[in-house]
Amino acid sequence: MINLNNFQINVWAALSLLFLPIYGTAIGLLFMGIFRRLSARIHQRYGPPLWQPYADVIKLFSKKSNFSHGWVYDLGVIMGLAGPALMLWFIPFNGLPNMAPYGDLIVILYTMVIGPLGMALAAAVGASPWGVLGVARALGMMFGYELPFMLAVLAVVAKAGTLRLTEIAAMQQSAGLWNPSNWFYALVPVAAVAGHIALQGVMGEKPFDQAIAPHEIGTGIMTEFGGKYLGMMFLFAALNLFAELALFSVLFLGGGPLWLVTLKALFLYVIASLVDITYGRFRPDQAFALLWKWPTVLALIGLMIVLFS
Amino acid sequence: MEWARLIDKVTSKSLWMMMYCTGCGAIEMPPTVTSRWDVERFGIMPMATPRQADIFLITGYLTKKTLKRVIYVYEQMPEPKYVIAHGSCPIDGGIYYDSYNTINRLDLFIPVDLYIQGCMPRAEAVMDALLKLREMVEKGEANAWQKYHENFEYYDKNQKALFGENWRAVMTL
Repeated sequence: MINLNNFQINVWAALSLLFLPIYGTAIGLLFMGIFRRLSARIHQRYGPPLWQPYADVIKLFSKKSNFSHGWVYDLGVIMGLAGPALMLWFIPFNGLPNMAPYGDLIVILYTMVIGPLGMALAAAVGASPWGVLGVARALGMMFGYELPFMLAVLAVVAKAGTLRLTEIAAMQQSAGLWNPSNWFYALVPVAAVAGHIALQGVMGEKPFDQAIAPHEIGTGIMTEFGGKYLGMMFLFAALNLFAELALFSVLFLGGGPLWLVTLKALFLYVIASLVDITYGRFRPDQAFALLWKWPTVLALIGLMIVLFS
Repeated sequence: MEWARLIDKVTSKSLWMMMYCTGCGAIEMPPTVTSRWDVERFGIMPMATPRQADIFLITGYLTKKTLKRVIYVYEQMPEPKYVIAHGSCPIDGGIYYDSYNTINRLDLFIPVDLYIQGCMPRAEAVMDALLKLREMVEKGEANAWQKYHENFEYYDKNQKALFGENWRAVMTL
């Protein structure tokens, strides 16, 4: 017996799963456009129009010659795009059926590294010394920011008493969608600030953009990418950006329906952009020392406060 | 055909440029890309590596040594690609026309889309050329990169006459 009711719900869920990565990519590209416009205004320039990243991606995909370096290169690029898409499926949005009830925070923290690892794989076989240097830096930075970020997440988990992101989101919205008194940014502020600093490293924004480092090591990981491959890199960057911002806003800023999470992500991204535009790039050792010093200590203090209060 | 026109229109709105700055023309680039003239408002952005670039801007004179690198970089760029020769030197040698180790004409070795004359062309002239190139790309007229396929024997002959028969084999970057 086929239950028609259930079947319809599954089609709706499948459509929503298909819709989420497309929406995330589109919004991520829009965010990049906002960033370029914002940095131009701060430099006292006019800057490109908001739709500039869309034109860039279309141009890259319409390039007539594309250089590949074998099947690992091709697969790494696809794996890079699949990682953040998978991560987005596990993030709960109110009223949007996705895979969030079937996975918890541990799954999300694992999916977070699939995308960057895929890109690192592609860059490492790309035969460019700058690419390999960028990969080494990216993996080093990953060690740097994951420790404070995980500790901050651990403080949230200790406070909430659960690893389920759906429950964490529901807990924060228990006082109302617009009431910030139950958001974990207010409940565990010290750990949240540490997580926020680490988020800058997660997104690879300055001062933690050593892995890309334009004009210092070529463009790091992206040095060997051109044409369609660079287009995939752009889509990955956009989707990854939105997924990471959405995760942070669900963890610390209360989550909510998709449009509200998008607004919160935009708010977070504008702050991150302002920091990015204002700061220079740190040396890898300086950035690593900074990440393991201040945010880690802050996150540990935050965790202590949660555990012993 | 309509689809190709649409792609050309979008492509002309996003041109990334790699600047080959060994000549004196390098000094005209900072005002062009920063807040004085700001080419980024037309979607034109400096890029760091040949794989990512669409425009190859040759600023100033080329010696026999640097020309080899220019040819290698040009061949690494994904097609369609556009070359702009900036200043007198890549056109006819400029003030170095009788030097023992500079080349006088760039378009003997790689195809060139646009020339900016002058010594030096100011940032306004660079802007003018970039906008002209944008127009050409939009109309589908910037096709110099196809000449490198069609007339490769010609370019190869000129390269070999200058550098020797097996220069690609013995060259080390």
